[in-house]
Amino acid sequence: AGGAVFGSIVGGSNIEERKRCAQEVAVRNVSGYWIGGFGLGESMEERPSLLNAVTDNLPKDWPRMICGLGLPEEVLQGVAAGVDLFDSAYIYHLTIGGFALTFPLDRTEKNDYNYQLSDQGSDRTKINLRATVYRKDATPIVEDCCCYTCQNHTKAYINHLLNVHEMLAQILLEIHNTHHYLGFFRSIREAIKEGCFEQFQKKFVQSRREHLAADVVSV
Amino acid sequence: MALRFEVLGRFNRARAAQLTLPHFACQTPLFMPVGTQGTIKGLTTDQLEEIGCQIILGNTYHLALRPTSELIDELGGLHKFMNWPRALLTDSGGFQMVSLLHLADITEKGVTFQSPVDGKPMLLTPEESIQIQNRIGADIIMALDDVVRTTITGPRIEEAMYRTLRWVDRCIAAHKRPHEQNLFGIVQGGLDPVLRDICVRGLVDRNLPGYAIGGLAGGEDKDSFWRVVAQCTAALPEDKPRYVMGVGYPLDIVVCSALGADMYDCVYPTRTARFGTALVPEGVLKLKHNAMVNDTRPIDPTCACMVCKNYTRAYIHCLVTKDAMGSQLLSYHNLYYMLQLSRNLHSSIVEGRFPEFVCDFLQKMFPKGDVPEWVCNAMDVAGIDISSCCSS
Repeated sequence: AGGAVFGSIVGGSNIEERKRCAQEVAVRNVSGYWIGGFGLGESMEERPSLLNAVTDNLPKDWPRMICGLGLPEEVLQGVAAGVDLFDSAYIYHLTIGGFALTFPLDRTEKNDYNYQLSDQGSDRTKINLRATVYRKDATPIVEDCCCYTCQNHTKAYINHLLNVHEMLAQILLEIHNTHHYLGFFRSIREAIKEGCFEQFQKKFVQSRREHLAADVVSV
Repeated sequence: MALRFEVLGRFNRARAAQLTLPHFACQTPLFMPVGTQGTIKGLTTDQLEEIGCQIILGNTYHLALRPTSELIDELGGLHKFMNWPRALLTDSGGFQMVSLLHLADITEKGVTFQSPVDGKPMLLTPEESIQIQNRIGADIIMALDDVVRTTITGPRIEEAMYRTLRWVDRCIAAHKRPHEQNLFGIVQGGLDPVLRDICVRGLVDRNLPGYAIGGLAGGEDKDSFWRVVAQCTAALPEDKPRYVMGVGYPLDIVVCSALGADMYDCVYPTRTARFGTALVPEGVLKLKHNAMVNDTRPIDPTCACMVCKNYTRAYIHCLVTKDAMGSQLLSYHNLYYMLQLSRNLHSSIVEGRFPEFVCDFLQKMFPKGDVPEWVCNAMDVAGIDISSCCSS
């Protein structure tokens, strides 16, 4: 009676069960697949084989949706395994924590963009606007971001809004975070279309690890 | 003086004018939403421009606490800090004397508050208030006045009125930016016509750019309220803006405009939104009511705002008190309602149909003809015939 029905695929961290579930759901008459039970404690290392156990056993013609993968690296793992749709509360949790995404979306070689001193020791994905270091920072969250928040407001203003518990803080952060995150997905789509997704994933993960390594060295 | 006030139309005491301020040319009568801490709760500056907001109020007391006026000054003033291109008005901090009275100690020197943030004593003198307001940079700044509740009687009222006059001189002396910021004096005197008269004449003598009628909207009965407004508007100069502070309800704004006032501010529209109440021509609509669960009409079918064009009562009912979006949508609608009321007051006066507008307004709000007596009395003095809307 109208509306697509997706079949659920579960199986925890058990490769055999994942495979069995996927195979069984694949023969049912559904319009797509909802993959559940990820992002609940499985490690980054064990996830790819669990994902592949599912997607290797699903037909290529129907969409695969996954719940629980939110971090950029996790999303990349999902995409690499053939997942199409991602649902998570990642952005929500960033926003209510006062965080704003800042990781670079630019896929060109200019990797030496300007990290402010405040990013030393951070994970280079995001900044927390509650930090007092932003009290007088009259620059936008991300310099060339074209979201409403970055086009109209400064870190100093958002810092103030968070400090005085004003709801406009969450509105502005959510706008930016959503925009930034959707931009990340756009980069992924472009990389896939250009046939260089594997490189994209490798470079992305590597650049994050490099910064972490650099932080360790500089301490 | 950093403003121009040009009357464009009249009906008896009511007037429609253009108030040209450094950041924006406004049309009066106008309502000013209150953005106490440098933001209207839940709305972006884009949305405020969209609904036609002309002036926003910021509060000296709160902004001085966080993020401090020095920081705002360092970052280029409040306009730049919050990215609001139109006009701003800052209150002096005087109202906090009344609303936070258990924390305040008032002497001739000024008001000592116990900071609600960290418990440290904070002294607000007329000089300090003006300095803070100079740093914040609003188009209109308010003199620090000695405010008393209208529900109080006795010598304290007279003391406060005379002190207000002495403090206004100190404010004038401390004001460093008279060519960019307009210092308004505030008429005090409680409900006593003699004291009010002395205060008005004292302030008019100081030849300020504009005047406010203060100390009202604090629980006094409506009959006393309108009489004080009527007395003050009759005595204040014709060619300068008149601002009734803390007003308020749509009905109060219509009455005060009929009596010759031009500017209003109140937290009511946004605060009541956060409790799930919408402003409509009939009065109020409580979105929390169970009756709203299945109601697929917009809040107000006659309203042209984004909320009424896109959302149903049923949807807002679900959100209200459960999600911030409910507050935001209702705040947006309620402010649109107040600003549309302002626009209607201005245009009906300019177009020579003010009495018709008033009657239409009252008929919608009191369909049974039970217009309150205080409104009838006030309209009488304002010279507006509302007999067609009154059943008695």
